[in-house]
Amino acid sequence: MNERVYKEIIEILPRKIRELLKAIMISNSNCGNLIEVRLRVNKPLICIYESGEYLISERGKNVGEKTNKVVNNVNNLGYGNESLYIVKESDIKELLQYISNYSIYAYEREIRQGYLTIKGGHRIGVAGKVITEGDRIKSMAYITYVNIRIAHEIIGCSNNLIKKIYNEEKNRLYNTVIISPPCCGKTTLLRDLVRNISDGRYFKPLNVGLVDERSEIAACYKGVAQNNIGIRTDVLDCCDKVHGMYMLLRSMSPKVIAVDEIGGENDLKALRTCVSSGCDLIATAHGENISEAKEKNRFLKEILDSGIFDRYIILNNKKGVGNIETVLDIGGNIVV
Amino acid sequence: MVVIIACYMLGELFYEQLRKRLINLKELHKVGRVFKANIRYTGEDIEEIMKNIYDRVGGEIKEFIGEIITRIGIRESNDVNDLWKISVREKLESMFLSEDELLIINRFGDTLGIMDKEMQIENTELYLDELQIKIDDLEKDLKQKKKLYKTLSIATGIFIVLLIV
Repeated sequence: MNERVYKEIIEILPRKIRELLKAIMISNSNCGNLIEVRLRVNKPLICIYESGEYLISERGKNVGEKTNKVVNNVNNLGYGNESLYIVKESDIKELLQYISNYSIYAYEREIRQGYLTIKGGHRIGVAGKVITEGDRIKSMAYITYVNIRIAHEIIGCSNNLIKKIYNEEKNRLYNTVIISPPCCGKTTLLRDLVRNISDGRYFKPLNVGLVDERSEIAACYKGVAQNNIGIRTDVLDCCDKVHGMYMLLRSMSPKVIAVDEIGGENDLKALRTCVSSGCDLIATAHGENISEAKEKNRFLKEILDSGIFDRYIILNNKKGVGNIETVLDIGGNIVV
Repeated sequence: MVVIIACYMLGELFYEQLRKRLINLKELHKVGRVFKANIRYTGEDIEEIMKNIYDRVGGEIKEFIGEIITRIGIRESNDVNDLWKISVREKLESMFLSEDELLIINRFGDTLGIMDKEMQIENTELYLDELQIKIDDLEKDLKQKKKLYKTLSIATGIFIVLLIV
């Protein structure tokens, strides 16, 4: 974990947990990059690294590589000779004060949607008692579960791919959709594609309009993108993708529009409007492959059958997260 | 003559303290107004609002707000109410504010950040109303006390001279 990321994470943690993590860093634990920190009231503190999931002891040590090994010990609040650090309610309260800059009222909307994005693009998921008003979520009280997901952008992961989605004859992009199951890197890939297109690494740079519905791609903090999405990218943060696409078309003159996770009822109409306005599209969708994606979601089937997209990038994690299985054209042929 | 002048200067000093107290109260009132406007229209977090307030206030209150911003930045406490109280103790208690006035200011600090937007605004309005009453009373007081301090100080000086003579 680089120094900047370390500082961004450490300064939001409750003081006691901060000391534990510092102790782990100092001991040079060989677990690889820290990916997540999970806090649950009255449960052991858990850190998830590239190498696996660890419980944290009161002395600031990673213990128990696989939590199923320690299930029997959790009631004793220990693992072997180590006492586990048990998260307290006061830890969560302190954390919430820091991540909201002592201003929970300013993050009502984010808490309602279940997550906040902090400086550096790291995402803090929260769970607790949900307060509803009719059929809408009004607020969340008694937040007792927190998941800190550390942002890891992989700059350059689309460098080998970018030429396959560019039509050199017409000097424009092919409308492209990235299809993958969850947690296989499609958002990371989308982000890097946006960066490459915006910065014009392999071809003339293009203005990109990005609808970042869940604040995952640009990870804006106070309106400023925390991830590298290129110098010609305009972001609509926390905006639903249909409205976002129309707004970008009206106001920002994008040449390319990028959206994450298409497959909603009204998405097809918005996508068609973008194409008919002369924009190229980069999108992502859930699915193991094209046919499975169509099977699971009828709206996505309509979108994929409409012929809007010329390129299909299939991702999986068979050889690791972000493994590009294949790139297909509209006829189902492999693009070399 | 020296004694009379000294007593006169003392009277002026007391008046000046009262005048500064009024200025500070008005600046603290401005703090509340800017805070309320920012909460209502921008919904920014406390640190950002304090920075906006810092740009708009002057004198000793600016230092007070600066202290709060610094303390928030270094996360000196997990409770912003603590940070507020410490800053009041260190910066405002030496500004000749009355106990009542300090109580109003501390009570405002007790509500910072822990309520939803609407409650924050309502509590700020309460703070502004209470402070306005103090400002109005002090303004009336100041007019009356200006003459009183002048007269008393000169009279005291003359009295002391007569005693010495």
